[in-house]
Amino acid sequence: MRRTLLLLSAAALAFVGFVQLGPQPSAPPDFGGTDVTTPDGAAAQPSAWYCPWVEAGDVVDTDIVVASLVTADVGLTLLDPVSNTDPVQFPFEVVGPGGAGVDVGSVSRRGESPAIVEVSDGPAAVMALQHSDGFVSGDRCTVSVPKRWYLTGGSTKTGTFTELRLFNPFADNADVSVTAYSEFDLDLVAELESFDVAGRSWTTIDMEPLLPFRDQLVFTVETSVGLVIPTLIRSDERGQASIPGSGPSTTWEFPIVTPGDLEPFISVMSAGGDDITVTVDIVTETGTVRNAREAVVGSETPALIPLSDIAAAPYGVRLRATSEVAASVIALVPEAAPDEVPGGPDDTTSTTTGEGDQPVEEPFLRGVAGTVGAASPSSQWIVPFDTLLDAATTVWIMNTGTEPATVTLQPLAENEEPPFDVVVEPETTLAVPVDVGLGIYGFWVDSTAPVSVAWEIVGDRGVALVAGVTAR
Amino acid sequence: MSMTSTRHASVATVVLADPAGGVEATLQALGRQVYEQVGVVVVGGSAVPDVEVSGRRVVVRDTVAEVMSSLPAHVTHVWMIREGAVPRPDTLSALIGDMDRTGASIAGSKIVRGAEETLVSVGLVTDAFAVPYTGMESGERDQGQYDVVRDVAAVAGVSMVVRRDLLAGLGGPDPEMTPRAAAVDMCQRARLKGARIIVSPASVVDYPVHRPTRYRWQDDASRIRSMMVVYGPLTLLWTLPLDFLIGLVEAVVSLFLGRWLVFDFFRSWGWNLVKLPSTVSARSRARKGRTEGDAELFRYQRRGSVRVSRLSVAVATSLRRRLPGDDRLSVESIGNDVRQPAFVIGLLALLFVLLSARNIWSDGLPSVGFTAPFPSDGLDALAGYAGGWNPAGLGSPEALRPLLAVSGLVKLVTFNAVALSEYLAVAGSMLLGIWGMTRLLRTWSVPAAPALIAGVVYVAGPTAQGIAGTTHIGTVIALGLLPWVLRICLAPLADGLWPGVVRFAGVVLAFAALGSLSPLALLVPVPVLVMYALVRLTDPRAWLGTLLALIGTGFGALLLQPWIWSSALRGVAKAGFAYWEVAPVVLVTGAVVAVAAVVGVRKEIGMVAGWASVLTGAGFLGARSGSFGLGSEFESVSLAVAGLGLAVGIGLVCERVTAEGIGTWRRLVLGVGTAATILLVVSSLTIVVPGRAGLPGDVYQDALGFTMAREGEAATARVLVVGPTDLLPGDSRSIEGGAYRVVSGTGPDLGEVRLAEPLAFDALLHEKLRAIIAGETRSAGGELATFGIRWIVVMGDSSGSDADETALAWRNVFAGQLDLLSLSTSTGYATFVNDTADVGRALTADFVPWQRVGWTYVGEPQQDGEVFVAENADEGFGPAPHDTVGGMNVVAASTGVVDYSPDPTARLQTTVAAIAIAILIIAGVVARRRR
Repeated sequence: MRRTLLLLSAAALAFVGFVQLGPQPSAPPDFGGTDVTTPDGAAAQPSAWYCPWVEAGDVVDTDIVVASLVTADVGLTLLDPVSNTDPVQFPFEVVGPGGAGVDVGSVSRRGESPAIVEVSDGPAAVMALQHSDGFVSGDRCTVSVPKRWYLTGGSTKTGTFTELRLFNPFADNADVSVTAYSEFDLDLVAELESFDVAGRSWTTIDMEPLLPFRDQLVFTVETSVGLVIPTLIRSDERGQASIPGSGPSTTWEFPIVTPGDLEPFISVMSAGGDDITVTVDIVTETGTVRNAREAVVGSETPALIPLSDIAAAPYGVRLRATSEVAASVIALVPEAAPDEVPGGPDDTTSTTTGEGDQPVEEPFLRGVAGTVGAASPSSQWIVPFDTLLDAATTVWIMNTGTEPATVTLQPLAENEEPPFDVVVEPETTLAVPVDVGLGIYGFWVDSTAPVSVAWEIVGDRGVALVAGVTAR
Repeated sequence: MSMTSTRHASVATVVLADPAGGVEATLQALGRQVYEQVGVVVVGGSAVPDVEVSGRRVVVRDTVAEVMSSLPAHVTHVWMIREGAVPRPDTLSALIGDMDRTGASIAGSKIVRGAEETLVSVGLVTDAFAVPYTGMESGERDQGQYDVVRDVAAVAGVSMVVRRDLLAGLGGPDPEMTPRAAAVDMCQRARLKGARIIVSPASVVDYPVHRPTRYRWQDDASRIRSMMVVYGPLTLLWTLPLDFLIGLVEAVVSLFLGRWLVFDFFRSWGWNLVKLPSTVSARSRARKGRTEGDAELFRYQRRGSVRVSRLSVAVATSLRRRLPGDDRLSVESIGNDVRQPAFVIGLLALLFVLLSARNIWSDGLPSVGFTAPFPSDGLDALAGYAGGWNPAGLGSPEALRPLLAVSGLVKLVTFNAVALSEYLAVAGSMLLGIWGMTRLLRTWSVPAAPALIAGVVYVAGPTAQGIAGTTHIGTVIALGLLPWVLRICLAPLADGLWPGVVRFAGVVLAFAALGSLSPLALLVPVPVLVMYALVRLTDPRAWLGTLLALIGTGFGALLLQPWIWSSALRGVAKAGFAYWEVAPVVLVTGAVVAVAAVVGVRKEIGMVAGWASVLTGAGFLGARSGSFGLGSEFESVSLAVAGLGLAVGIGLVCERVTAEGIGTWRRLVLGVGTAATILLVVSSLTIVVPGRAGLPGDVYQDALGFTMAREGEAATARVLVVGPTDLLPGDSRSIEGGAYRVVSGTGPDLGEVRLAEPLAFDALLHEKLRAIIAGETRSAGGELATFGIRWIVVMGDSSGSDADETALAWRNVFAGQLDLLSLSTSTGYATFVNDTADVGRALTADFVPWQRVGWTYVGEPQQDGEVFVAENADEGFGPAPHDTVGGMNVVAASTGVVDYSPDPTARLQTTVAAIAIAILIIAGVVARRRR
């Protein structure tokens, strides 16, 4: 009897043990920090800024501009195109509030060499401007490094080229997948599905052989391992524009979309949702045209919204969407006859066409410009910019609010410059020209109401649009 | 051969005094000699009776040299006889006669003892280490079997005749030596001079009293001195080191035979060191004018070592005595033993253990989970345990686990051998476990063969494999001790003080050893024995065993200080998640064995089987009790309990299945139980294939091996290991749902497995990691360089479609850093190296890294310089002045060594524990002898 009791006890213990459950599989760590997405890809903070589109060779030069509110040590690192070669380091200091520009060619002239700019303190921001005799392009550098990027504004229509520059400034190889969308919806390209970008290197993919004859091309760039900073470069015979990657947002503001009176388009892609209604408001210097245009964006179909027929330049754009979208502005020389184009930079050397064997000189317009917008207005901005002798630099401040915004502009220059105020009326955009030759490398923008800021450079070499950087 | 006539030999007799006395009997016997003696001189004696021998008064002298100088010129021979020896009347005449016939220079008598004429010596040979060997069985009687005059290496110093001129040349026996060694020594020296030594069996001396040397070490010391005196340099070159080694092995092995020879060993060598000058002069005298070389000495030497042979016999005898069965090992019984199942199974078990742990012999312990190689220096580990610095993670003054002290001791005993210590610990534990199970099962009269089978399943079966799978190496080793601990509590206790002392010392030491290996295992015996006592209510031994277990647990725990005062067993029990993944077939076979044992065994043992089955069930429940908040170390100890119960059940089933007179249905049940046992045995044998005693394969030595690519670099830096918790070495810390920990660049040793409570520097690392994870910095290399972290290894698969999500998340953290470089390693783990120039766990102000040697930092001394030591700040670091900067230590670089002053309280506690252990050992040994 006692033996039976013992045996039953043992069985009971074993049974209780048997029905016990194993440990729940632990959830993977929540390392959201590595995937922080600032929709517009940049914020003025002390950190490392990545500038994928930098080149200094026999034709092209690049200026890297740092604007900072405080004194900061800056380390400029230029990667070498030859693998396993040490990068070039160039340290310098920005005395705040102030700015400094570095001609990359004076540091290293190795052709393409994406840059990392480490700023020890902030608020600060960095931009890079490429220029040659034939074009000007550039944009603010990137500080946010999400795992998924959106790039809009591409095209491979005849005479137009689109490249993707994927810059991996980090240690590890990045396993990258690029997904392309065009007017034909999802464009599957096997070569873009999964490939490595080695650490501390970059790769540039020409889309023309892979996806020819696409009027619209937008991309998502994702990394399963590692990180890359992409930028889209669109070029044609008239110039070049670089458009950085961005995140998704339901609102986008573009303080200026008509640099040099080029013909603007808004390139929009869905960040996942289907049938997204996108509404465009045109913000001129005098007022706003609400709901000026509306488009429906499919989950795999981008939209290219023309704006030139809505209002007379100059103007900015506010975009509202029913779900998150990525958007950029692309400004092109109108396809109409050059003499029909009002304003716009032209090439003084001209091109010729024959008529009755007699050459006739016609102005050759230069200019392709593009940039991303601001996901939301802000009261404070840092706007690093560059000036060129034969070009006009203009800062645009757009106030989409209902109250006038008194904006204090503190020049960030090599030498101390006094601040000045401007007033931006509600639902207008305002141009603030920048004096060339004073060594001013940016503005600290402090507004009484949220505004959006961008700048343009227009000259004989071409046109560039560059987004500002919010000082969040 | 020249023959010297001794017909008219004139003999003087020298009686060598002996503290045991007996001079009267000797002198009377001398007076009865038929061969006339010139005179009798007593050397060294103080109380000589006023007697005459052959009409002459007995003279007393202090030394043999005095005797030699005072002898009349006509004396040709000297008879040296030991006080207490009783020569027969014709002893001297026989000696003189045989010397005369053979032309020998020294002749010795046959020595017998008592009326039964037990043979003591008929001449001696020695081995190469001057150990005398009679060649006789113990207690062999004189039946004339050795009665032939023959040449020998030496004769006993009890009775020998020496030619006077030879004795004068030799200077007599060495007064520094014990009598027997001195006789051998003198004979050896004589042979160097070309002398012939014989034994004369017709010359019989009764040496009635057994007179051992008072101190054994003196014999050894004299023997070593004798070697140094007579041997040539080449012979000494191999005999001395070999003799030292044999002595050491003998001292260690003798511990297990209940003899304490360690002090003897060291005293004998120490004595020779002190006496070295006189040995050198004695050697000079002995070898001056020699006519023969060492080859002559080798002529009468036996092969091998006499001490090794004796030790082997002693070990075999002891083993045989402890194994179940009545026969003792002897020449006659060997044949029978070999045919016994127990002997065969025992040999197979031994072979099984040797094979199962073979890769630990070659590679050492695998570095995986909570298992890691023992610290490279045993003294470091002991010093660390005794209040020293805890090197785990970023360091801490928190007490180390007693397992470290055990590993340090094993390392010391094996002269810091890399893998030998670990092999001894693991394989030794397995052997102990099998052996212990046979002893435990003897409590219930289970014979050797089934007990050995039970032992094999106990140390290698599914439960043991489960323990090894948890990688708690302490429990793996403690497994071998557990049955001994129970046996020592349950074994019959004889009456009297000394048996009580032996039992008390044994119980406390056994429990302390168990607890030091696995603190939770210390808590096992009491409930197990309480349960046993409850099922055997009327058995007083069960209750006594419970009492002893309580005593052992209490006192054993006290011996675990200082660790026991600074740690909570509750925390140890709750770390991790206890869940033993068991194959259904194992579950079924275990249940079948338990049922068969309870149902099939005889009635009086049935309750024991019931107790064993309850142990199995309770252990199984404990091993899966993670949902009750219990952890993996608790799981390992629970598995030990389950294994114990299962093994007892197996033993009982296997014992019963061969019995006669069992009913049909019961035999059927036992047959099924035996079939289940066979399955368990087969499952146990599977550990032979990997050869790591069931432990998983190495992970971290493989994963971190790349750090050795640049010589010396690994010793200057650390590795940050991240990834899934179960893939990290030992304890880990958690951040944002991910796990990380820091280990030495050379890979973690056992001292680094258990992390201490986090301190300020740990908190700083945590904060830096948080910032890196949050993307607040892209300069992880610079941030981590502060902590001496040169490498980052992401454990787990972090690439491809099958990538582990945790590993991938960690990889992405470090993939997005600017000052790290990705390393290609053959391990497949994502690995990064810090691209920051100055990384080191101890750096001077000008960024020169100091190496971690043992558990200290060593570098070039810098006068007025400073060293920044990336360990948690602690005032104990030196040399002074000590300062704290950024959570780390700054100390002077003047001596070239960063040291750590141990915590005086912890060191005192360790000393007290060590003294208590020593007292218990000595008390146990002494009491065992007196018992």
